[in-house]
Amino acid sequence: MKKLKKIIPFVVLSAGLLTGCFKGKEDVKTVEEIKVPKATKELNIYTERHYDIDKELIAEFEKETGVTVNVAKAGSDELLKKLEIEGKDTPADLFITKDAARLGRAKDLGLLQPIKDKEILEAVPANIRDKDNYWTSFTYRARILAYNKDTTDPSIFSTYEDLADPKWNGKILVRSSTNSYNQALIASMIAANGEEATREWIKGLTANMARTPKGNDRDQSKAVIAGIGEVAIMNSYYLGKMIHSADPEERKVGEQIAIFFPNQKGRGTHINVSGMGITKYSKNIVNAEKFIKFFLSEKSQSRFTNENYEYPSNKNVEINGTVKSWGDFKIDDLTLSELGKNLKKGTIMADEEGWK
Amino acid sequence: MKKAGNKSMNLKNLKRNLNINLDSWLFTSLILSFFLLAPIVTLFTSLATQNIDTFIHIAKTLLPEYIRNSLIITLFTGLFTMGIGVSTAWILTMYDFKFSKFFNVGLILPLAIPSYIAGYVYSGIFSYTGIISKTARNLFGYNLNLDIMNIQGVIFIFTFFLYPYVFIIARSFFLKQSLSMLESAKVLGKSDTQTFFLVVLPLARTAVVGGVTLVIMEVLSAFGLPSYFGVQTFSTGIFRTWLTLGDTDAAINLAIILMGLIFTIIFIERKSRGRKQYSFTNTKIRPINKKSLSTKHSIIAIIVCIVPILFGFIIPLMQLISWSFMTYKDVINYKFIEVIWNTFSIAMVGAVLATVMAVIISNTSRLKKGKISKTLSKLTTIGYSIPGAVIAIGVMTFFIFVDRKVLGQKVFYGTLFLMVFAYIIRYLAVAYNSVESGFDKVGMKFHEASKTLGYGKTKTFFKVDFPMIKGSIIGAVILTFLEIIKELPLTLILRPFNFETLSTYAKQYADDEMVQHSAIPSIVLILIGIIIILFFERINKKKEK
Repeated sequence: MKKLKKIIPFVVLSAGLLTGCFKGKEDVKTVEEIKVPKATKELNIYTERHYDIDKELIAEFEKETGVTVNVAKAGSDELLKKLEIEGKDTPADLFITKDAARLGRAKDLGLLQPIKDKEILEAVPANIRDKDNYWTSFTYRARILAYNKDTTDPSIFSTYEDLADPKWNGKILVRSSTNSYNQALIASMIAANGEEATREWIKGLTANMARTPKGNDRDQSKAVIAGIGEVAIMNSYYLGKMIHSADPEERKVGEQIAIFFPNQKGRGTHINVSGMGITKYSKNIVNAEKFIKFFLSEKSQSRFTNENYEYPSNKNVEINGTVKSWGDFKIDDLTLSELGKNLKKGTIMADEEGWK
Repeated sequence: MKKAGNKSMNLKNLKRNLNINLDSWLFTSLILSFFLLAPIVTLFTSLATQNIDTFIHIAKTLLPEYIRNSLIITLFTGLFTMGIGVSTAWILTMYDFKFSKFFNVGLILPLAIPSYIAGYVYSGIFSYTGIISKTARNLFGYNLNLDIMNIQGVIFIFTFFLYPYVFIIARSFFLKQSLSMLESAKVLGKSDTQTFFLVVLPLARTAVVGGVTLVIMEVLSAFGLPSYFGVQTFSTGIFRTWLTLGDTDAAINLAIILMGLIFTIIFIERKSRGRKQYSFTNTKIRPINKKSLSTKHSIIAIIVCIVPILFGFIIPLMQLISWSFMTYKDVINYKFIEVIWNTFSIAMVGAVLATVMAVIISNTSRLKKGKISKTLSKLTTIGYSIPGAVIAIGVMTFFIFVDRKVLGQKVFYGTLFLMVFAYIIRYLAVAYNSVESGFDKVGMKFHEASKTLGYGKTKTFFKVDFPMIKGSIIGAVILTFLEIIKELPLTLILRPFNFETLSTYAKQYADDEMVQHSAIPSIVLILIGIIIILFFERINKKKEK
């Protein structure tokens, strides 16, 4: 008896720890809650995007449909790894990310399933969604060249390829090759020009850099205005954000920057998308499709472009004024579905050629 | 039975008691260790197919840079934190001057600011649109090109936000250990400076090495700051290999190299300090007669103390406050209270559980003088040397396996349990060190006396040991809490749906290049940290009395 008495506290303690006695103590949806009661009233999203606009639209979707949306946010690579490890037990129904290459990788890893209701994709041009409908974009941004409108004459710009030319020595600003936008750009170059040519391009580009890659996209445009380099490779979307920044000093920079869309005479300017796909083991497919439809609706789309300065994927929606003022451009649409395949190759290549 | 007058009967009882108790402590310890180690073991055994192509690529192209950068950062951060930590601790121990009471607390405050938030803030201050360049440009028409996002910047930030680890340990050492030596040296006619270099520094060596080791461990496993600044280190390399290149094998190979490195450092530290133990919690002092300083010397002392507080606390806080005025409208809403509560409660649960486990394992290892328990106790603290993301994925993999194969239904996965569990693996070492030092200070005397008087081990623990090491236990909870609220990579991966903490909240804005918006969650995080630190200081003061 005595022996038993002494062991009890430890047994209780370890049992408590092992069964997770404090599980559900917080007001958080656990997996069981999601799965068991009313599966049709739930939708679980893994997303890399954490803009306030997404949050607001999700809340609106909940109100409109009565579906409870649960969101888990992390980097796209982490979320992909999660989906991979979870396999058929994944609680996620939708995977949302800011990178077409990651969407392609998710498809290739067998983590997604095709969107069956083709009607909801009607408004999205075929060149900005997966060719087998495993994913669709809902917004996109262009990887553009940014320059100082007071000091630079844009007639010197032509293509991404041209940036490897020695005439750009010491003039190019771009962030690290560890950034997903640059990885996608390299992947698109491989799709367009092949591996060897891309390797040479990376070599030339790296040799022309004004400084060791650092900082984020906004920092590149600030460096242009500061005169550290002449041209920055950056995302259109950040410029819109800067022009409407809370920080007056950032607004000033934003207003001094002008944009050039490269490769207009050839394949078009590289874009990247924010897109979504239904997970292969989704338990709430109907709600997932409802959600896609909602995100692609004209109402949501016009908010994406007006509040977040992205290009809307729905072709019927008017583009935001600031964004529109940069001009129409031709999209490089040949390669979007191919990006995932070249992602690893391109990343390794950038390492090898010294693009930090 | 208890009143058996027979001596040999008594002895027999005692022996039986001993065995029973030994079993229950050891048994619990073993179970805990098993579960703490299982996720890590799972990870390493998942290396079924050793595909080394990617690893060869990394070894050829990136590994030299990872090693070089990690070593440079470690070396300089180690040296600088030592310089600042030791000099300020010495001045505050020896001299009395204006504000010295304030400095005693103020010098610890940078610990409340996570290094990645410091990174956001300083990159903002130094950016083209930051306060310095802006002022130079708009007021004086002068174009400055400042840059902090480089390896020097990483060292700068680690130095000013991690030196308190050295400061705390050095201060407690100076207060406690060197007093009699100091007095002897003075009697023998040595000046203060001579005393410092000839007597105190050699004596304090091991304590200082202990503090610097903590700094180095933090630096080596830190991910947020180097990745934001674009400086490739081991930690960022593991992350990149694993996730971007999608190569688990190569990432684990890298992790093993990193752990090897850290174990070497720990080994050197243990060897160098021999059997002495130093920790934050040892502060039993005899009051020292502090010297008053002349005005001139006072000013020097004040400058030496104010500079670290300025860079490590005041400047970043001011910048955050100014940003928060720009953005509070967008950030503060009803959800925000929930975020604060999440941060606080999860860290509290994690810290308390980690401490309870640390007590169990540490007490077992102390009572059972065997190889097994010693090894176990070392092994369970292994998590401190593994990057958070690696632990997160290990924990995920393990619990999915348990749910699927052992329980046959979803029980653990997707719950907060996983997160707390991972925190414990990651930070058990922090709690363990504090608790262990408490036990060391108490020694075995009282414990043995209690046993001789007929108490069992468990009863002895609660009636005798616990009250004596209560301070160390609270210290363990506080330090672990402080670590958990600042944690990021593990939290990001393991948090359940809709679960947001202050650190994830701050990070999401910084990732979106909206660093001004991360100010409010950062400030709240820092405030919680400050409150906890002040509480910690008060407890230490109480113990001194």
